[in-house]
Amino acid sequence: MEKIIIDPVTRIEGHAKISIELNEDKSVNDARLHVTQFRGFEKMCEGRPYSDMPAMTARTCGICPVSHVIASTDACDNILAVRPPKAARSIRRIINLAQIIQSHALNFYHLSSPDFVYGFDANPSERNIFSLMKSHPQMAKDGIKLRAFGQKIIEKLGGKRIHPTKVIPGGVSQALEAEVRDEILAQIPEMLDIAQNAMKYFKSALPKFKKEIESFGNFPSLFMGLVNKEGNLIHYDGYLRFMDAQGNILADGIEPRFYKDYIGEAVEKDSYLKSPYYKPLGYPEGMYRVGPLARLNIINACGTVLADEHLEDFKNLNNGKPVLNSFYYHYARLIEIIYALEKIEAKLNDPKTMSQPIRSHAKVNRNHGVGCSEAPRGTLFHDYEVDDNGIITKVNLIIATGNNALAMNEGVKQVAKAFVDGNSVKEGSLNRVEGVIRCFDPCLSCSTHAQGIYTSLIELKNHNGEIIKTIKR
Amino acid sequence: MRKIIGIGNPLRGEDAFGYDMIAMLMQSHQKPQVDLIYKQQLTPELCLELLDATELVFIDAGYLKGFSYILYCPLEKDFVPSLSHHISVKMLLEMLGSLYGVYPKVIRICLAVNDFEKIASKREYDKALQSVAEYISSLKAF
Repeated sequence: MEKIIIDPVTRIEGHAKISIELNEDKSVNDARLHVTQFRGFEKMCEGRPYSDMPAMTARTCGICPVSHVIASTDACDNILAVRPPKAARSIRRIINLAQIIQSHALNFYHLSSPDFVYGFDANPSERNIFSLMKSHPQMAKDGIKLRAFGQKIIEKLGGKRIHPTKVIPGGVSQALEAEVRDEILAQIPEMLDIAQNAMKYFKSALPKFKKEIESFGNFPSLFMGLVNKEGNLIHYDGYLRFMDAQGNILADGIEPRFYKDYIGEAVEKDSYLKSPYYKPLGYPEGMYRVGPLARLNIINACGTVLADEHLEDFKNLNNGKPVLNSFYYHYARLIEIIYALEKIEAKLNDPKTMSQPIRSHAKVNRNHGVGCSEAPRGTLFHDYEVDDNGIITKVNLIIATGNNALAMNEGVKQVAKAFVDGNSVKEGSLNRVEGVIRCFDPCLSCSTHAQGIYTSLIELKNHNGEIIKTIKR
Repeated sequence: MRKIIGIGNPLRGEDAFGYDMIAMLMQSHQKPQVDLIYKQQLTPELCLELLDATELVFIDAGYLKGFSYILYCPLEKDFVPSLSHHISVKMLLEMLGSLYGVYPKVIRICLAVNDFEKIASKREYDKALQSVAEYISSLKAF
């Protein structure tokens, strides 16, 4: 069977390849995403004190370490059986939202915008950030400003931009200072303007992408994410909700520590990505999506003024039912940036954020703790088992991007079938196959974990590239 | 304004070279008109910290098979094949020029290394640190 291989997949975080299998008549039979990186955090962390976990698991990623720190400290809080004080929960939420702003901004402005500005069929020598900086310098600068804003908050409140240190089990290690609060507040109006301009641009560009919208990962699936007690958007300290493609809530109000009752994990033969699925429906029928699109589908409201205005338009895309087209992840991402800015402003103006105390103290009270946060790419779980001394005995991580594994594969197959003709393979078609992966904004370095049997194939090649030995396990 | 930027992960063996260089320069550096910056990785928003730069010195470690502890200047061959959440020196300079009209003079110093698990030879590693420190101290305007 003939194959087209896209390797590497460009303008994403991490390393992946896509294989497209062709039938005899050169039509597309199947397409798969293969994640070629392997990590081993679940094994590496065994034998470590639970208090090391936020610092260790933050190193899963240099792009979304905040999400890992938040989920990890949440798991540690459960082991200690404490609830962090209001100020600490507020500061954690602000840092998490800041990460969402900077991560979403990079995807939109620098990774995906060349496709929106020049079109998917543009010459690759033109369709890149270098051209964007010349033809749309303000757009490129806006992306840098939003990223700098988000990273500054993480640095000021978290201690470091990458692998923050001040979010700790029980709370945070430093209270928010008034001058830091005021410095951040002063920048929010400009950031909101930038985000609103991006939304305006994106909405004006949408009519150009009707075919992509129809075929970029447009299929029924479940959706999962966190909601607060009112069923509104929240990225930390919430409850799990599952919704089907018609908008029916299948399960709701689930405390994240009971995730295993609802989520199973399958292992794929050709990828280091696990495939989580909704247990009551089995694998693979229980495929669900997470991340910005899923979050906006499952919620009743964002809870902030500007974001809710955009949410109404978003929900109208499918007459109030869940939006199924993965292309609209980009739309959802922009709404989340606006929400995050508004929410950060609200939290900074809330006196509870500046209150004391900032940390709850306890010793190990439970042998099991589960933490959960909404990362930029979706719901993240950290599940730790410890002995009575607090030493980690077992770890399970369900990574945001991993939740989307089945959906990404489905998306890649759908786009390949819609756009790739094996008789005449066009670069723009292959770019679209990559483009559907960009919709999900995967963080592949984070996402590669495995369970069960490890299979590997090692090929030894000589200096001529000829295979001289194969080792298979 | 001259800015010296050390890049690398201090927890990854010889990748700490950029970090260790900045730490050494912070202890010894006398000149007031020099900014010392450490970054674990280069990201687009670093541009905003470099808008007043007239001279940039980048210091990091790079895997170079078969070579150890050799100092080299790879700017011309430096590229990252795909854009991600971190960027290359060349991409950063392109952003500075295209978006902000800032074109500083640039020197890139890279220590060729083979090991990101540990510092294989502390003696050679420290010798390289010392060489770069001396070189930077002697650097006139470029």
